Amino acid sequence: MSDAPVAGLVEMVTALAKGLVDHPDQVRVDADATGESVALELRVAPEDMGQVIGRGGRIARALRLIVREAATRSGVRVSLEIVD
Amino acid sequence: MADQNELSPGGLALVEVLTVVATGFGVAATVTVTDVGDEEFSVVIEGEGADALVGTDGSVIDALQYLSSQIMSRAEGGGRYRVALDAGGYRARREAALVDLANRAAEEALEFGEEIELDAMSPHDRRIVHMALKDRDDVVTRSEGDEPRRRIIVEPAD
Repeated sequence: MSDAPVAGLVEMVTALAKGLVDHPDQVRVDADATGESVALELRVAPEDMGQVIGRGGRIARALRLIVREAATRSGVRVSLEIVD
Repeated sequence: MADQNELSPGGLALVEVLTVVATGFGVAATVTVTDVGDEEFSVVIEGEGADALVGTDGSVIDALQYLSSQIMSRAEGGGRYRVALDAGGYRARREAALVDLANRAAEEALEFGEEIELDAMSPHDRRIVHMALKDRDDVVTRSEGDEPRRRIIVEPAD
């Protein structure tokens, strides 16, 4: 798989997360690509966890839906884990 | 209407984030943010293939709209800001289709002298249908049932 779709997905999650948190400098997104699958890990400052998960997980759900749809368009499967 | 280079911090943040998101969908997009007042912003994403940002039944654009209001509220330093997001003219097309549906239901209700029950819809979509028929004096609308199965009934006025 070319690196372009993965880089695009990482940039997308990074930009959204930075917009949501109080400490954008502490946003980190790592990608682990195997075959046609990409596992993304999002890390934020501990006090910002709520801002990327949301009440009832609503923000995390929205993030996953968006990144999954974008990945599908590039023919890639993606998972997004928020790591604490 | 605010010029793009006079945007508030929230407007600037949204232009930046949504441009990156569009790029991730393979769309070279233009993002326009308008402060419509009353803590509400209208955001339009345009560009070749912007339909990609709509998703099945608007799932992607609804998710993006929700995150946009969160991003806007944080960048503006708290408060609750509403963001109405459209991409590739989706909302306008959807609204036109709902108004059309409302008018056809009204004609059917009058023709058969009966209640016409529409499919279940979101509160946003139901509001469009109610608004489309509210100025008519020959039909009335009401909603029945519980979310997410709540639906509109159109019937002849007495």
